[in-house]
Amino acid sequence: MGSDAVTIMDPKDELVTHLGVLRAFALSLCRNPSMADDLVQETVVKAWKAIHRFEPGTNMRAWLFTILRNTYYSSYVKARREVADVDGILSGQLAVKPEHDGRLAYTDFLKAFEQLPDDQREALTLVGASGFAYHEAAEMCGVATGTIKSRVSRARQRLIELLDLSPEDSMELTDGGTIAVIVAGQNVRRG
Amino acid sequence: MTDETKPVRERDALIRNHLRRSFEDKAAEEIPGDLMNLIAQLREQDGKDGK
Repeated sequence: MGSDAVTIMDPKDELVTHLGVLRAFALSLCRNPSMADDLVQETVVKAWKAIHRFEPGTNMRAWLFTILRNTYYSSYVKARREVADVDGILSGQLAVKPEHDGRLAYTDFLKAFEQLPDDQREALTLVGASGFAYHEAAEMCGVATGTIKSRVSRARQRLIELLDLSPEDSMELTDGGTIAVIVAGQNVRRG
Repeated sequence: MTDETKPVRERDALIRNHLRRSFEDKAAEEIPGDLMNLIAQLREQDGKDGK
């Protein structure tokens, strides 16, 4: 071999490698698997047809997420409101804090996360889960960086309230994987 | 690290970890057959269009 040439993947091939995270983002926004799958399909068709506008070497994930969120807010939000919470399930959850004993169960977290407002859930997903920088998330959402920071901050605070995790609470970490991640992070910082 | 900040850091780290786990779990789910069929159709159409 011996070639230093950088191979640039065909954008359409690269698009396919992002389907999993694209679907994860759609699920985070919609909270409805059927609707999320429709949203991803519509996003893929739009991206495929507009692939010539994508600049190779730039961030395709950000490009796809932007198409998906624009499609979601322009076409899906109204429909989701019409089908969501027909049984009052979500409303019921809002009034009930998890009955944890100082421990944060993953399932409680998922329930609390789904109760966040759209903009906060989106900001937390982009920055906290997908690994985008604040300024990248801001660009994708068409808002100022400070707005994304504010949304993330409010989302975290809301999660703390929903999960009844005030700073005074003594939280017992029960998940081995979680403890390992936290300890590893502290060791890195100390190093 | 003070006694006051340590629980807050642990709590934030726990939330962050759950958040990432949630996203990664969703991303790792099997891609629906309908979506893969759509990709195949788009590729087939590209072939017909000579793209």
